[in-house]
Amino acid sequence: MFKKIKILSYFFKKNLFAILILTPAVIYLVGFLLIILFKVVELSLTHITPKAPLFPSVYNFIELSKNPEFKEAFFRTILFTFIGTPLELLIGMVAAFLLAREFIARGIIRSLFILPLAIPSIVTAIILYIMFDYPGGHINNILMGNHSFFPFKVISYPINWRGSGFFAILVSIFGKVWRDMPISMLIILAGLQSIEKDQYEAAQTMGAGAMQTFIKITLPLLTPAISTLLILRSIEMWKEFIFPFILAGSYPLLATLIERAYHEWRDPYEASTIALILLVLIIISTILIFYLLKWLKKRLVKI
Amino acid sequence: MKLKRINTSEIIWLIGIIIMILIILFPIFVMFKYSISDRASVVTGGKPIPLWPYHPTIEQFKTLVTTDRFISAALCSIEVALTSVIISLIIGTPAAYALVRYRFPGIMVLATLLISVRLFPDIVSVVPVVEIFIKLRLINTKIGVALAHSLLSIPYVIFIAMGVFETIPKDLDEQAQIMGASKLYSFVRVILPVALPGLAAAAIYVFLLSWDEFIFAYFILAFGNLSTLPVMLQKILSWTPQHNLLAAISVMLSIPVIIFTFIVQKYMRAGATAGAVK
Amino acid sequence: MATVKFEQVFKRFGRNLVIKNLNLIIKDGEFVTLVGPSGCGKTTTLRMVAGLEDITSGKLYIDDIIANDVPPQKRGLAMVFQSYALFPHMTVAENIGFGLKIKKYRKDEIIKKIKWAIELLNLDGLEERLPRELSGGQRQRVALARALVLEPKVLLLDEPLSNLDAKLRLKMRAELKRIHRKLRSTVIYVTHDQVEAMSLSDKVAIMNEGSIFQVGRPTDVYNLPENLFVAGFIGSPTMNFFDAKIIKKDEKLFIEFAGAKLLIPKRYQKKCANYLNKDVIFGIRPENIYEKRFSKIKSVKENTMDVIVDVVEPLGDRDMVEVTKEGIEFSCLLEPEAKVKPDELIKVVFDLSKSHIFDKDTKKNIIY
Repeated sequence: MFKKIKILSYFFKKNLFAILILTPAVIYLVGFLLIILFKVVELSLTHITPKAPLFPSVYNFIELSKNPEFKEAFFRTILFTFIGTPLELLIGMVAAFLLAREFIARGIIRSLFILPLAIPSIVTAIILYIMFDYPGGHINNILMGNHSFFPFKVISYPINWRGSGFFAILVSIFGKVWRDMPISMLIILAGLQSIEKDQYEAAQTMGAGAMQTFIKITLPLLTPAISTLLILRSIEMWKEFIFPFILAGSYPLLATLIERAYHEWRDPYEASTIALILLVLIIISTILIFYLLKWLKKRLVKI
Repeated sequence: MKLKRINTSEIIWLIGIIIMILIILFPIFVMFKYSISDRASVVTGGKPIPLWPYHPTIEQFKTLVTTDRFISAALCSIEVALTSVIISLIIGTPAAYALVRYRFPGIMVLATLLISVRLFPDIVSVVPVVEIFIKLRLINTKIGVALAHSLLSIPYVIFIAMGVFETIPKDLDEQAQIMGASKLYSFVRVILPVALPGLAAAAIYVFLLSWDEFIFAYFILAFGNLSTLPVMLQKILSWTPQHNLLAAISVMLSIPVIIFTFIVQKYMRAGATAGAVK
Repeated sequence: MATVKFEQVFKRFGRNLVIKNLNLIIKDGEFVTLVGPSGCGKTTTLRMVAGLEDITSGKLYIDDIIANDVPPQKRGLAMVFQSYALFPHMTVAENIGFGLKIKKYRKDEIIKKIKWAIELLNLDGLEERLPRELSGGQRQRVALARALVLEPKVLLLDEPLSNLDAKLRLKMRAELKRIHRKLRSTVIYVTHDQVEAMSLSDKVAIMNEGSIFQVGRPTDVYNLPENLFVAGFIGSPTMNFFDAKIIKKDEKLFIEFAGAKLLIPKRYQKKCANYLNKDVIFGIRPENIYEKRFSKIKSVKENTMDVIVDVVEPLGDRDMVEVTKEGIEFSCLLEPEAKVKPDELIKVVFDLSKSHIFDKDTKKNIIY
């Protein structure tokens, strides 16, 4: 016991400076986070009655489960994430493969492909709001064949993009994928560049075709990059707020439903309940993806 | 001389590049086009909106820079961003130094923990933060927004600054200490000046992060008189304003981000892929 | 000026014991070199003196005061790192004045001292340059000036010459010697280059695997290596070693190897008696083997053998000659005038008074 105290005091003396300069960051980040977590749980378990607030109570959860708006938001969020994540990955991968070879002005094209990352999300959302306007937005005009460079009448009546749940979510996904695609592209590009040329050449000398090289060499070596992307980008998709908020205002996702509960229903308790449910969903999904990837890796190695 | 034969895979590649460029550039083009559109090119009375304005004009920008509302929002954005740069650098930089230079059990876990705070969903934390800020009277204040933004940016500062400190040889610290400098003195007078260029990149990154942040700014400033530029954009959206004005604000909001992104591209990438590559 | 003393010092990094029972006394004004192969613990030892590494157990005295827990700031030492560790954002003068400023010297005193150091190391005219504008040799001198200006109790040098090219290294070596003679400060010098160690120091400590294998004056460790490691490490070209056996013939002890029997000198006979008919390791330096015609000692049957020349490398003043006898190879430094040629059969004479015999198990020098 005495010895332990001695070792501990030695440790503090030795690392005093490190501890001192680490403390503010630890307090700020971890402290903030703990308070936030505590507050979310506290609010979501509080039931306001005319007499006195009831705690703990699952009232908010029961109320929410009866709320059709919550159910719809829940399914929209799943739709958004399940389409958005793979789509962003796919487009990022396509962009990375397009850049993977040597060509003139590669640097410029590469910078161009990163450009969306330099446009603030809110700005992207506003531009899409203008482009997908009803009835006279650019997209409607083009699809109706109103411009000479694209004289095909794909639709005869303008689409009310923001007025339909399906289209509104679709446009939101488009915005999210457009803006965040460079992140996927950069990570996959880094993964591609870490593959040695020798490995391709070795495969080619063994008579492998382009398709075979891709499946047998490129994809397996890209798995670490794809795995990280899948986990990080799916978290981003679950919690996406700006695009659905601006582009699908009448068709909330869980993230935008939090805003609606807080600002329109004036109910921080219900808002926190939704937030907590979203957080749990994200954690479960992350763990599931993690184990799914692990399982897939095992299977891949076996083959 | 024979013409070089172009095979199908190269044609597919070329088409792919062109389609990607079109998809990426079209919305950006639309933004710039609207921002210089005259009224007649936006309110067309049923005719399709032209792809290039009938009479390009910088009228919107002129209006904006003389509108109090816009100026105060821009100033608010700048003030919030600078405050959050200061807070997050003061808190994040020393922590990053300790995480790089000291090796005691659990320090790597701590580093990972601090950096992964950024993965915590902002939309989940926003309601409790606002509830707490109401009690602390930080709601509708610039410092409130800056504090919230620092929560988002400190992990990035730690990540970028750790990379910077790793490139500075430990010999410098040790040399300073042998010469009689305290740890604080050698950090402030020897290491920080050497790290300055790298830390400048971190500062720009934090500035941009705050400049275009929407969620916290919106929740904290939703019902007050203050607005940052992103919040202002959202607020005027609800009065169905003219699209050319919206686009002009968007351009003003984007230009600093575009410029700085390409200046600190190397570090932006590091930030964007933070945690992905160890 | 100060003394440094290690008393049963151990250092552990996690599970690795990197310094094992180090005992060493460094006297006031002495130039002591720690020399050994990389990873032998010499730099760790130096860093323990500087206070940059904790001492796991044992005691370190600086000026007869236990210094184990004294922080580096308060030890009053100076150190020159292998990388020089010049502060890149400060000019030469600012670098040199850094320590003085911390120690709160008066401004005019600082200027005077900087001037003294600049003159001592011939750095005139470079005061306002930044480190990146200096050549390697100049940086090295700035690092030295920065250390010396503090008038340290002990000056610690960690491979200071290893980043210089060969010519500059020789020049700086001489400079170091000159400065030490002038200032007479206590110096601990770390290097892996045994030639550097021999030429610079009053005393060398040869280290291997965390222990000191021998401490002594350069000539002593060269002429009388205590053990096989020191014998093989010190000296260039390196000593020849043979698996040998001690045998008795006509009441005299002979050393037998490569099919030859050589007479052990009289004064070693007694020490070798215990090893009769036992396997030992016989060692002799290439420069102590002569071609018969040019031999410095008398050639007799008991010190001469026939060998076949394998390779001849002219070094200028001498020829480095690889020879074989019954499949066993060794090298000798011969007079170029002997004009030996490959595949030639020559007679070589062993100067056995300068040879060494090592115990095969303990690796100790029997005749030490």
